[in-house]
Amino acid sequence: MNKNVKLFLVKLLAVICLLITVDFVAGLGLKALFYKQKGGKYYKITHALKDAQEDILIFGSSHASEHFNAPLMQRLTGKTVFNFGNQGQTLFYIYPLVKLAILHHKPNLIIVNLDYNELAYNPEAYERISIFLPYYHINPVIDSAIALMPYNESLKCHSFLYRYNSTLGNSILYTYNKGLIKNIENLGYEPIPGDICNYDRTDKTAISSNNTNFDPNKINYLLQVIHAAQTNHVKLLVTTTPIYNYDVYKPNAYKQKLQQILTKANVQYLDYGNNDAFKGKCEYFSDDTHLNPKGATKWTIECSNFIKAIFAGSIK
Amino acid sequence: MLFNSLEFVLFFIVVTTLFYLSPHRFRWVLLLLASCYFYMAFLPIYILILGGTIIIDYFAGIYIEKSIGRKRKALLILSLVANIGVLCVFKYYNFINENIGLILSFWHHSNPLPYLNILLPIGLSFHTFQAMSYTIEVYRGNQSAEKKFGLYALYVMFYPQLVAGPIERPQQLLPQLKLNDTFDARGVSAGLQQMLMGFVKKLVVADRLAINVDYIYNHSADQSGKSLAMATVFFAFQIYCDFSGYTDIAIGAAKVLGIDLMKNFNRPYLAASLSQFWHRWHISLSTWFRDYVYFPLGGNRVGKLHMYVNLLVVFLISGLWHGAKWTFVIWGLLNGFIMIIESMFKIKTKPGNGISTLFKTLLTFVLICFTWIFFRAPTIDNALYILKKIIQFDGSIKSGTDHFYYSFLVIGFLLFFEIITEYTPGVYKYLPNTFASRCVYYVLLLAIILQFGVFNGSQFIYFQF
Repeated sequence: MNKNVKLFLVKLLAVICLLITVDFVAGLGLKALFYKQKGGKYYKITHALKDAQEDILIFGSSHASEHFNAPLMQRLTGKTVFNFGNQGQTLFYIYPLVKLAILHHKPNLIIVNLDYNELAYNPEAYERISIFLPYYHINPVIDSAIALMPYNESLKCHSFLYRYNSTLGNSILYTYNKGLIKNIENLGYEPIPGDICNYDRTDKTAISSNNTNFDPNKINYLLQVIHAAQTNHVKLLVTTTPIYNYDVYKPNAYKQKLQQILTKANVQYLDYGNNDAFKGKCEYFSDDTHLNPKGATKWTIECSNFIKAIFAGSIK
Repeated sequence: MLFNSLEFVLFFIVVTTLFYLSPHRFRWVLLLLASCYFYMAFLPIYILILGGTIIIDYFAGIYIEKSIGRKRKALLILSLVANIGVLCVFKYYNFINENIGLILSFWHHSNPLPYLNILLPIGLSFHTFQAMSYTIEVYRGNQSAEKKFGLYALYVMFYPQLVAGPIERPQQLLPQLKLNDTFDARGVSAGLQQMLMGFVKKLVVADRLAINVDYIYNHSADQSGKSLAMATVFFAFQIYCDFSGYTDIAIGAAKVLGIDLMKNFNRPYLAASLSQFWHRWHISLSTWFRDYVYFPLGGNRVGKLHMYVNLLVVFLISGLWHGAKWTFVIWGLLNGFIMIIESMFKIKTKPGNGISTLFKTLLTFVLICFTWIFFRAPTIDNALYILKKIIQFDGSIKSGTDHFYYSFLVIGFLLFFEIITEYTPGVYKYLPNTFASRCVYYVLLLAIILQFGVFNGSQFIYFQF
């Protein structure tokens, strides 16, 4: 082999060795900082993993985190509540978290908030499983969710730096920023202010379609959530929160399938997607599908009444 | 196979290793096979279309060289028609058809032409322009026709620049493909370093900004004017880092193989005028249009009015080159009009004092961002809506994603290094240049990619063109 090539390969090897060392050491540092977080999206997962003891656990996407006013629900129901909702998340997030939370604590009620099209195939849903990367190898249920991801994520997770990809900012903000840490008092509730009364809604056209593309993995995860709740004798309530313009997101095959699965499994379903108290009322929404604090309060009151009825036994 | 995929990294390692293990005379064959594989990874059947145009241009080149007079010109036209014809069918047919349908519907007639449900071959505009560059240069006598079919095919298909340039000239690329260079550790190291910078630009900056831009532009009706203005600025940096990141990876990958590709970007957002911007942005395309469209139309050596028309024609074609949509046409024309205004008012591009240069640079950036709105928006109506909201500049900034702070951070770092490089290039010579320092630099870049990169496998924006 040419001397030049040999020297180059030796240098390349040195770079690789240094990279592995830096990756390991920096990964350890990032991990230490990561678990100090006292708020934000990762704190919710860590809380489910380590010390969730609340009576009512709420799971879902931003439609959960922004709509379920957990402190208010706590006052209204007399039960402790925590909102595990995280922006953009789907059943791929919900099921592992339900499973992790149930491992060390049996809550009185699990609320799973789902959109009408939750069971649709959506490639972005798979990418968003990346929220679990820092927890790789902590529990098999998380590893199995990561295994669903594209782009060989399980392989990339061998890098410690990659596992904590893009977490440094969150770790610093939610460890040292007192203002953000205060949000923990909201018990996972993340209100979004503003309303849509001054926005032009004319460009909104119906997005429902007759073409359906069910995601078997999501259906399986929903069945697993139901199974986990039922085998652990935990009450399960599935909800769909209000939508401003119901006609845009009008019911389709996905909703029918969701209803069919829930009915078959005898799971309570509180569907407010087409509720007259919210529909078309711009003062309750921060955009088409997200309630503002005023809307969230109203929704939480309605939902809490339903929950009280469940606990009272008038709804079974 | 995207550059920002694990598959490409493996492909690159295998091809480079085989390249240097192969006997010199077979290296171009290996590169051609690798390029075919690379192209076929996107949509295998389209290799036949590319192969067809390569055959036409290969023989056109040979016969053009042998011919004189009208026959020579006819052969050039034949080759150009074949290339532009493929472009028209795949890229512009449905656009033209759609507009014919609109015009006919005005007179209550239905459009008899069918809609073609076809996918655009990847990088079609790039390799078509590179192929046309070859036949034009042979016609002009600046380049001798390539006799080896395989080498000509490799000139068109060379995988690092096949799908998004730089659009090379035959005088620059063909001789390098014939060289049988031995392993040059410095070149390989420089190439890898440039590739790393490209990955940083793409994964850390462009794809990070894309998260915000896509969210805000895709929900424009829910956004305030300030949010839309911010997203437009983000898009300016996203498209720059996406495309220049791709180019860095392409140039770096070629350099590893001992081949120098042309520079495609030169800190474009530090330009003090739009004409300067176009000397710094997508240089290989700008010079292509200059040499093969603008100069043949008369360039600057005609009357003022004629020159302005020439500018508009070039930018109209440039807009259409980017995509078969009216938004791209408007984008091209806007650039043309601004260039004309600059020319009319003789806006000097030479650096003046610091304040005036800063003012001109900021003004140029604002104008560029204004044109990017039409480039990014899905329709003209949407672009005008966004523009209206930005001018109103109402509401507060609502990002909707948690990538917001990272976006400002990465733009800050990018601008810092661009400004340093532009105004104090000598500063880098004070940095240590030992193996240890380079080693730390490489590892730092890799660590930045692993920690701050966005690994969602997003496509490069210019791949669609």
